[in-house]
Amino acid sequence: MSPRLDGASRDDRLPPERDLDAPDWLERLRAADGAPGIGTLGRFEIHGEVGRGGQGVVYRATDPDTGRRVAVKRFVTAGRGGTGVHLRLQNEILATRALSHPGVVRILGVESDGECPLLVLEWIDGLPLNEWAAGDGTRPSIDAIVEMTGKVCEVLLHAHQRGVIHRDVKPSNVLVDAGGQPHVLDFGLAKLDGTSATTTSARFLGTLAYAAPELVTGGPAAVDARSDVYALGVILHEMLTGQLPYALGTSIFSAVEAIRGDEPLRMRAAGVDSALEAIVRMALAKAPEERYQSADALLADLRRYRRGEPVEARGRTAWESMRGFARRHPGPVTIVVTLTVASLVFGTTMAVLHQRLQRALARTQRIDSFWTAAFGGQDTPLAWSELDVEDVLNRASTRATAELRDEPDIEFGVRTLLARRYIDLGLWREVGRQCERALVLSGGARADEKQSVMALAYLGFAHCLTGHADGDSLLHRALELEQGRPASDPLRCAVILNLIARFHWGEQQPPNFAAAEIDYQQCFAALGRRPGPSHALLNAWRGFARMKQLQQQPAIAIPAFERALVVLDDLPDEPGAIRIGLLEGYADVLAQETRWAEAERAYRSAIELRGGLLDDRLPPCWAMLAGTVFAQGRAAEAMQLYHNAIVARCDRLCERFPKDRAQFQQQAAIVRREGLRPDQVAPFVDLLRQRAPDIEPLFRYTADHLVAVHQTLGDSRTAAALRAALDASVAAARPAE
Amino acid sequence: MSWTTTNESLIDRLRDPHDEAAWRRFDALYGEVILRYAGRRGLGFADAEDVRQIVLLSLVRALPNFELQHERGRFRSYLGRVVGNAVQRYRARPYRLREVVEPDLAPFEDHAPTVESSDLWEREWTEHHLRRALETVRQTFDARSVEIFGRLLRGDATDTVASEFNASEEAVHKVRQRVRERLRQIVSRQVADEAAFLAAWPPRQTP
Repeated sequence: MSPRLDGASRDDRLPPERDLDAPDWLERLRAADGAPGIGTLGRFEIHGEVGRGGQGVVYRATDPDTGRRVAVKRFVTAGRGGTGVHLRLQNEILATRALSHPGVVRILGVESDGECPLLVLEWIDGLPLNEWAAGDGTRPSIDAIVEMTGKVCEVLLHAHQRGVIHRDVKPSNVLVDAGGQPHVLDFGLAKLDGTSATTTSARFLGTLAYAAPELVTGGPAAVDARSDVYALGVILHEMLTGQLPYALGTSIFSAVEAIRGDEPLRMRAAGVDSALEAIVRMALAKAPEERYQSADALLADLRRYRRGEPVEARGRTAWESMRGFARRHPGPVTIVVTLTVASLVFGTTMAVLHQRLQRALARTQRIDSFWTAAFGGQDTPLAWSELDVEDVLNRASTRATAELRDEPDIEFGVRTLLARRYIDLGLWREVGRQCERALVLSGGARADEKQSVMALAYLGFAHCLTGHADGDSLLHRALELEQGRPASDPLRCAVILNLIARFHWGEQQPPNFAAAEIDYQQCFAALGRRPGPSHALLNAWRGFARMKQLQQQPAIAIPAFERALVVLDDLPDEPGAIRIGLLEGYADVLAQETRWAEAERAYRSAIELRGGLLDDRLPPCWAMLAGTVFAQGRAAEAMQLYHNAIVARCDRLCERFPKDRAQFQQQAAIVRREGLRPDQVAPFVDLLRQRAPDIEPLFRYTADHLVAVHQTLGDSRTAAALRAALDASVAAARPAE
Repeated sequence: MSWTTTNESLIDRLRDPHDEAAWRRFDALYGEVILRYAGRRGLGFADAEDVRQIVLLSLVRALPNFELQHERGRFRSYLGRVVGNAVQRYRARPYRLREVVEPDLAPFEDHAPTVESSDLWEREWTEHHLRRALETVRQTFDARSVEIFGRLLRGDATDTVASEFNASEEAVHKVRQRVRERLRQIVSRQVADEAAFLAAWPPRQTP
């Protein structure tokens, strides 16, 4: 019953066209319409997805008890009982319950699907504001747009008067129903006056384009009703001209810069007169005090405009613009100051610490001299290969035990330094040992000895990684101690919170993303008290980016990786492995978002950096690079890269299995010479199965791709032979089946 | 939306992996049918979501490079195959998502000329199209007609509906016919979009 190609007559029509011509078309349509949903969430039947964001996913659903159509918002959480999710949920409920306006989407209830909280909302049959403004071919008139903005303004005014700031006003959060009434959604980010439920990472949850300058730069405390006024200004600008007030560029940084510094684009071309443009510009003023001071004031001006009366807003003069710019760019003073503060933290690197030690008291001088001696007088061990460093550290540790027996104070300092270096190498068992010894020397973790608190934290994290049950509680104890110190250091708190977060998403099974999200919120809040580049900031962005990558949220992970890379640029003495790891993660998420060209660049930078580093824990990313090249249609180049991947892998295996060196070299030589030969697959797979079964899937992955590459290059014969060889090797693996 | 009013087909845009809007659109169109099918194959909701991701990522990787025959209905079986594979791989998954996604280039290169999609997939596919068309009608028709048709769809008799809406039976019948005609148009456009999906591929190379 294979369908004919062309000129299909009615009878030949395929489903679903055929179905509508059938006599029982209405029944068929009914069956389709009434088909069970795509699944169930809790007791709700889900029909489709309406939207998704950082907070969760919103579904169109039916309440089986009432048969009523509802929207169900499922808050993203992987683990159970995540306080972060509950906070947000609670926030949304509190905020929405405080309001009673036809323009605020009502909450019908809160339930659970056994794992995640579900927020049940009134279903609004409507179009997002941006689609409304795009119109059905013709855009709404300027007057209709101004009127609509006024209506949204009324809803927000209602909220503001009850102490609720939305903070995430954007077109997709406003639904316009058939009667032209806007409904504002998503008070999940709302700030209630008198509460502090605001976060740094929440900024990512909002859409940057609509975020006011104080939201992208200032602390959460800076947010008030005027931030919502600003968002309305952006929306109005966009609806009137079809574009955002600023060119945001492609990265989060250029976007932030534009929001902070750029003047809004002129609107005359779109037929907007000067009075209306003045209204938009006043709503978009960079400084909140220059904006409309309330939604009420904006609403009043919009109404005046519609009535043809003079508006209160007026154009800014050039002088005013310049004065505004100067105020927004106070210079580099803050960064210099914070950098100095940052270097005081335990988590600083050797070079910084070295300088510091040289200038310090006798105790630190002694530690310093021991340290220098241990490294044979070299003060830049970072240039060495990692294995050499590990070796030297091990020897330094042994020497410390022997030589510093009578100087507990000095040994303590050396142990913390050693721990720090082992952390760089990822040798957590050693980190644990050093910290444990340091804690013995300091008589436990003491609030008056900040290094001991950090030693406790790292011991806790090392325990988390090495399967001890007490890791989590040690970490929390360290946090408690640090927070309780009279001169508690926000950066140190941030470091500990980052470790706790990494425990929650990286070590706990299943990962507790919700708890980690809260940890990061607190972590970034702490970092907000000490702005500027720091290792703590770098590690927070690194961790956050990794988590988002793991959660399959590349849209959030990408800017987070970018932030980490930028912070890293300001910290030149970080080990290269960190940049490589970041670049690879960044490339992975870019590839996930199909930004192939950028992903390719990132992979290439990572590979280039790798050239000088010997570290078997980081597998080369040739194969990933090849994938991005292939995705961009450069099959021949991709083939070469896949071959490189196999050769590089063989080189690694030679180091790992010196006895089988000859065999791996032989395989690599064939690939280097002729590419992966089909007849080579079986012996290679055999070899891998015997020696390195963990590598077999990687090889298979590469070979699978090579099949596709050959196919694309028109070489079906090789493709088929390779595929057959791979399939045969799979079959050979399961004789029992 | 602009998809249907411009000459640029969805596939033309999908071949540019940077065209996020196109991929969003594709996800909006086909994400649900993937979810439903995966659900029918016994996966839980969250797992079905993962499968959807896997399928989309597989397509992103495959689309710029693979050729298909230009034949009506081919996209249906093509996607069915990809989804079927993804479900199977997902069930067998020992790895991280990335590893489940990556090797899924494999199923694309050996697609046979005729594929018997399972009845299940066929049914899901058909219903998916009907639902999509119905949704479009609901959004684009005047509220009264939508409501009248809703009653008919529910199974109410023409005369009941007519009296309830204070209209003649003929008027109700007209609504029924208008909706049906419109559904036909929408569905055939949807199917044409899929044909365009295939037509955009380069001609098959003979080895």
